[in-house]
Amino acid sequence: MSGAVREAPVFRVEGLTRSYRVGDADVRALAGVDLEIGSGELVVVAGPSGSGKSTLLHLLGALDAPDAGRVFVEGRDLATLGERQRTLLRRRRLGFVFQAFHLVPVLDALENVEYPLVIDGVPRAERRARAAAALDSVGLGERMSHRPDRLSGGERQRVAIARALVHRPRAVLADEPTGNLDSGNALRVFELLAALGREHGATVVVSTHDPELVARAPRVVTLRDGRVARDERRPEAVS
Amino acid sequence: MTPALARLLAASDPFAAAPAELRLELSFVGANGAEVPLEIWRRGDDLALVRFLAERDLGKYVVRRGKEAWLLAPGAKNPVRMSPALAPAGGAALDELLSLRLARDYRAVSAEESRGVVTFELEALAPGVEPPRVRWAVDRARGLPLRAEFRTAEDKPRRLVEFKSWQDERKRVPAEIVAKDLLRTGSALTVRIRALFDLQDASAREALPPPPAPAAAAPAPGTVPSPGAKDQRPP
Amino acid sequence: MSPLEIARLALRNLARNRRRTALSLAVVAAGTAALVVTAGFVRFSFDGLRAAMIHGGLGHLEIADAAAAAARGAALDRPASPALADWREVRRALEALPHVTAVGANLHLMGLAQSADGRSVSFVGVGAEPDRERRMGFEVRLREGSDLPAAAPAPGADAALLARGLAESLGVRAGEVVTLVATTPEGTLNALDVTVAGVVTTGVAELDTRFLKLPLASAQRLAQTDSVSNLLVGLDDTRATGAALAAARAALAGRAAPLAVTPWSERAPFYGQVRDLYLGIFVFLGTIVVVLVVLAASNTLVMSIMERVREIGTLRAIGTGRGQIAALLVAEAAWLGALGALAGAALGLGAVLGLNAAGLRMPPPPGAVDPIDLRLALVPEAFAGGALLMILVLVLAALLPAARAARLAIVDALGHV
Ligand SMILES: Nc1ncnc2c1ncn2[C@@H]1O[C@H](COP(=O)(O)OP(=O)(O)O)[C@@H](O)[C@H]1O
Ligand SMILES: [Mg+2]
Repeated sequence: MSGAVREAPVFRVEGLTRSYRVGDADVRALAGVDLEIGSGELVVVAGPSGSGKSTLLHLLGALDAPDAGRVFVEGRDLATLGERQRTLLRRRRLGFVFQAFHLVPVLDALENVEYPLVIDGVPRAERRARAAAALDSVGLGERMSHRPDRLSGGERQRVAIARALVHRPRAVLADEPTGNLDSGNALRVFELLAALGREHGATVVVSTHDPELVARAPRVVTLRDGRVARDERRPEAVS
Repeated sequence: MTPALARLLAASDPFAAAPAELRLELSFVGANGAEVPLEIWRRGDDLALVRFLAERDLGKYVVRRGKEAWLLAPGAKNPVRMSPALAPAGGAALDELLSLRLARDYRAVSAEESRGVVTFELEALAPGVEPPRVRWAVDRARGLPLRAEFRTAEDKPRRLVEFKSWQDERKRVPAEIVAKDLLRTGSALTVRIRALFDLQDASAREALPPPPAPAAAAPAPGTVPSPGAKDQRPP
Repeated sequence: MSPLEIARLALRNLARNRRRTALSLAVVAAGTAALVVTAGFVRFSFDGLRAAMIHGGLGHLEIADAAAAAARGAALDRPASPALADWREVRRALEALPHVTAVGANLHLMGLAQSADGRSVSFVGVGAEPDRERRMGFEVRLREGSDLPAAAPAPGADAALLARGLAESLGVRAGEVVTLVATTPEGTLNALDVTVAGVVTTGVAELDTRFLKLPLASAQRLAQTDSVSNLLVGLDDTRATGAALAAARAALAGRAAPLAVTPWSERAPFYGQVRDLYLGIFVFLGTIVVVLVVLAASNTLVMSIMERVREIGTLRAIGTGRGQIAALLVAEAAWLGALGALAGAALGLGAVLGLNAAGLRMPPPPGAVDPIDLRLALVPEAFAGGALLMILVLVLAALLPAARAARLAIVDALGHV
């Protein structure tokens, strides 16, 4: 990590604020968050439900725009990017994993994993091979032609992880990726994410409120009421 | 109406001096411009025979008895009764003129004079007299008719006859008349009268041309078929 | 994403809700089939009408004295005066032209027909040449008796074909004699006995009450003329009408008494009216079909998009562009249109063949006499046009919902349940 000091952090946010209007009231999901996440880091964003974890990940992933504050991804201010550039950023530099898997039901496992390469115009033979390799790396080499509805929850999330990594993104944002899994699968998915992130040199940001996962993270950013309550680094923690 | 006007009217009657039995040689200009020569044979007002003289018309006759008329054509075995709709325009106009007896059958309802022309409005004395109404224009100075407008009982103009020239002014025999059908076609027909022969006058009889060879095709004027005998050939 | 991949993915998406897709396909197919069948019916009607007009008495071209034709004006059923004196030479020139099967002379007459028992009915008649009309493909619709003999009848042996209504009014049957009275060109009357050879129908109820037809020689005898009213030119191919028109005009140019050469279509303003009417009906029906398909299709398209909001959000989140999303949804609609149109074309083909095989008869159209055998035409343009129209209609119907879907806020879409 010391070698990456000169490099711009993968994510940097300053004074990030995001409110939602619910009825007459303004709900502050984020109330001034400052944060920096470096290259190759594995960060768990912890905090109780409603503390702003998802909102933060959406803002980091250029899926949403803050009311105030700025988001830099690889040093670029998202506010200066147009719709098309944000789309390209998500397509090439980021990977997403969602709590509810969000696989495309009409595509089989291989096609789901292949999809990010398809939209990026990677030639068919190459993308097939890469998607197959990605599926292999999540242990689903035998399940390539299964549609999502014929996979278990854990398997689905592993397909989603393969999809999030197949295009070799700079960072993966995983919003409660284990929320729909039993504890055994949850642990396996988390470790897979951590391992593959490390293998690809990708920054991995995982939100969760599962203490077991929190305990395994080298860095834990705890949110409370939309603010960073704690930013803990535990170099000894091995996921 | 003054007695003078009444005298004028009576004296203007055309064909007034026509004999009871007569033959007229005449022609009219057909709708396509061709000359149609024909003869009209008459006995009294009730009996008339029209004989067409052109080569294309050979063997064609129209016979009128009273108000009924028949067409005899070489292509048709039986005489064809002619409805008023089929009345031949030129012949009818002339026939009408020949039958006209202004002094006897009409009374003047009014008379108007303008620039030497007296126009009488005449009305038939008895029902059934054709035409029911006549507007009669007379040249006062010469005592000759100029124009006759035959009108229906409803006083609608039906036919207009103009007297263009005279071959015998004294006997009121016209030389050329133009008849215009005002009800139907509206087209004008010029009729030229070449000669009038008195059939009771032996000298006139001698002036007759010899009868055509197939004499049977031309029934004599006295032998018109009776209306009930259509199925028989005219004798 | 290449168009091929978009198309593939779109096809996959259609397979997702098979029942709904089948329903949409059925709507599109029914619409296409309706267009194909209607087009077939309209074409059948045009062709039938055209053939009926040309072979029912108009011929392909008419040659008449220009002055007489002008005097006749718009009143097409008013007889032209027999103004063509040198018609035999004119005919010789015309029959030498390419595509000409025969040139028949007509003499138009009006007059009174009288039966032996004294009934009299007015008629419109035409003197014609049966042998030439046969060569021109004119049809005689005999109801009773026989057709006119091919050879000109000798004097005294004149015969005629009477239309149904006329024969009925006169109370005569084939074999009986009627006397025709008509006016000659000079304005005198003439009469002619004719034997009723047969009773025919013109196909037009109104005309059947007064029409009769007799050999040209008999008509000329009755009218006391050697001239004819017009010449009708029959062609071996209706499509050659334009060329034959030009050739006839060239062949007849420079005459002292100019001749008018008129194509059948100008002598049948009725044809143009019927054509416009049918086209109007076709366009109207097409509009209804399109509206129905648009309504049904946009409903299912919107529904299928609503169901997939979360998925669309996901696709957007992982880097699918707005254009790609819209293209995908429009491609789905295009597939629906294409597949539905294909099925509809097959359905329409089947319907046309089936209806033709069934040998249905249509009741006589207004004013006509005979029922018509239904023979729907196969109109290639209708198949191609119908299919293209359906694809176009579906694509248009998809544009708005697709654009809306592409503009969804990603986070909202992801959270959508
Ligand atoms: N779309 C939204 N509309 C209204 N309120 C929202 C919306 N998204 C999040 N919130 C509110 O913002 C706060 C933070 O939400 P979120 O970021 O989802 O928290 P977490 O992911 O930690 O559970 C919560 O109070 C939540 O109710
Ligand atoms: Mg959350």
